[in-house]
Amino acid sequence: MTGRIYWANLGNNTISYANLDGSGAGGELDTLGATLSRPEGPALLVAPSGTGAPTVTGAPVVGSTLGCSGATWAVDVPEASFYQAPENLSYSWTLNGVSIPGATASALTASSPGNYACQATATNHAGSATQTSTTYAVHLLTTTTLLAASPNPSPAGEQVTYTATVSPAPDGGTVTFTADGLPIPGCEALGLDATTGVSTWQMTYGAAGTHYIQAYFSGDAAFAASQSSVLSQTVNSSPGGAVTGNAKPSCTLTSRNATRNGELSVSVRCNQPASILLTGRITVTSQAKAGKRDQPKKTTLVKLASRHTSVTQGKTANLTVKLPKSALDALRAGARETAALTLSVSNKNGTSHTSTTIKPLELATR
Amino acid sequence: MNMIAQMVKRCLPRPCLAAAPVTVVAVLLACTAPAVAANQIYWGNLNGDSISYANLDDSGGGGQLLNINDSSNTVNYPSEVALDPAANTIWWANDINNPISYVNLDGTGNGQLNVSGSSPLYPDGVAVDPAANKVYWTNHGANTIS
Repeated sequence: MTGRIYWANLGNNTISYANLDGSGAGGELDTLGATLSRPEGPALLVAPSGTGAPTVTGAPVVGSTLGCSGATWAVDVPEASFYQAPENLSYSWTLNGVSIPGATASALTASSPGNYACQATATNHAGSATQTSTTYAVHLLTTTTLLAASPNPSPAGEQVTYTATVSPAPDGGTVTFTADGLPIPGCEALGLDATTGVSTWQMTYGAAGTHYIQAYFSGDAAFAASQSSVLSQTVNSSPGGAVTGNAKPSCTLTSRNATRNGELSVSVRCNQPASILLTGRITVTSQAKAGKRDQPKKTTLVKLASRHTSVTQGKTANLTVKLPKSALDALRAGARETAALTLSVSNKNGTSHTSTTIKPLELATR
Repeated sequence: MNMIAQMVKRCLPRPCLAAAPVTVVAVLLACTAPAVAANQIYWGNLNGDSISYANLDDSGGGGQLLNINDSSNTVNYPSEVALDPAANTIWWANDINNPISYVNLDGTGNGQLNVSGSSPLYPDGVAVDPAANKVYWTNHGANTIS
């Protein structure tokens, strides 16, 4: 048995002690400053003593609430007039061995990954004691990144939308798309929707082929990085051929300078697949007939339009525009005309225009 | 009244009320629990009408928590003491005028237990049961335990 026993000496106004194990070592306690006047029944108060370290509880992922609980302390032994119970408890936390400022509650939100530990300190009037938990590893929240493409397969010249979905939806980070293992300029570090975890990227392929696309989530302070599996995107040839390069399509417009039953025929030839729209106007001007007195000119504007038509690279497309009957009648009556046509040509690279003025119409029916 | 003023009032011997401030400080220090926490021993002074303490490590550091000159005058032939460290309190029985008294271990606050329903008669040793929120004492004048 170790320790001491204390007693008050009513007869000589002293406090004495001796070892509990019978080895003596007794004496009179130094009580300087205290009153001793027939003292009786002393009681001891010592600082708390830890009997069990606290443990850290909670989900081991960033963002979870950790708890510091389970610390135990030696209790009072009133039958021996020996007291040691804590009066109050306080807490502190460390992350990777470094104290976390302001973390003084029994609960803590894990804001970053690492090894957490908590310290529980018990205090009473005689002093304090601290017990420290074992470390508790907190990890980033695991994410998964899924990648989808629409449409797949896709025709050349048609826009493909790639959708990367990170779950659970992270509160930060970026997504980078790669094609055939290489970063795509302009498609790096794209933002995500904070609610859905979605990031998208659009691409229009000009030629047939297969592309291997992958999406990478960068991760952030709370969410771990992840990457999608490789997606195989198949691009098929478009019906009109493949659009190449970034230049706008260039076309030539040729009028055959003839009408046949009021039909105007023109030919179009382009250097790239494109969609064309032919528009124009014919101004019909009435003239005084020969031998007649001069008559005021009469002008009639006739608008022309053909439907949107697809043309194939290097092949000639023939368009026919039918003159309105009023214009045809005016021409048959000896009117003269001027005509101008405009061709609008479009594909993914943009739209260009070409114009031509056609020679006086010749009516086959004249 | 702030804590210092309360302690001065409680600790200052009445004849010294008009004394110089230096005297007040001296009495205050003598009646205040030690600023530095240490393992301690407490006892009642049967003849001294006071509750005293000293350090357990033989370094002195003694003093008085309360004495008969305190305004509450609740120390009158105290004998054995009992502690409730969780409540920061020390208890004792007053042999002469019967009440069961307490004072905080830090020297702040003191009072007497409401003993209505019991019959203290020369109370002696006290025991505290914090879990049951009770204080027990022996009545050596009546050979009973209250």
